[in-house]
Amino acid sequence: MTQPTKQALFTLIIWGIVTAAFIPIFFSRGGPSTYVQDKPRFVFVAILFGAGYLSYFIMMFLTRARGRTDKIVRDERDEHIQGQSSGVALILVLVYVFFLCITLYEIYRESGCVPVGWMWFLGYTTVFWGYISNSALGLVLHSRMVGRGKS
Amino acid sequence: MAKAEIRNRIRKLRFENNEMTQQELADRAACTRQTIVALEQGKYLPSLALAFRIAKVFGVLLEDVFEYEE
Repeated sequence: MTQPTKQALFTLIIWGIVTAAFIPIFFSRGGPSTYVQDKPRFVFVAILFGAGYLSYFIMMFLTRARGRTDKIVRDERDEHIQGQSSGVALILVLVYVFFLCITLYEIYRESGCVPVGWMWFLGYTTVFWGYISNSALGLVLHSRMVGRGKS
Repeated sequence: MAKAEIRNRIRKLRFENNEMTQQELADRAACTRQTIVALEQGKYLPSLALAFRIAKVFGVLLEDVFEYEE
């Protein structure tokens, strides 16, 4: 397993766990409408988010290139895959944000205001979805080995 | 426009060069072993620079490694 594949796999695991923990916590005890007032839940989610980033940075540090300096750990194919997965992930994130915003607009159009908790949900899940889609796409492309190097 | 395909003889050339390992070729051509695997399986088309480096490792011309077919 190459360094980029390892990093994509661990990124997927870390942010997958954080997302799996975030969703039930966020929607517990009244959900988005009481999220900001519910301090323990608000703080717990913030700690979870921080723990996710801390784990991510520790993983990136532990899987960095080291030891034999002449050994190639990342080459043009990895860069090609990373570029491709980042491009597609960006579109997926944009589509996600668009559809969530439109859905919230449709749901709350009559009342005229959206609970502020939804903005926190949008912020957190955009980050999670960005990491998850990028790493998952990277793993798929790595396993398929397809690509074309730039000359 | 006709579909073009680029084949390569990397596996054969490794065999002819004392069964050079994929890792050794990767190290000498400055790429990863996974890229050599992908190249041998015909799933990845290398950049010109990498193609030239691979040919240089085997001491042959580029067209002796890669073959263009229409």
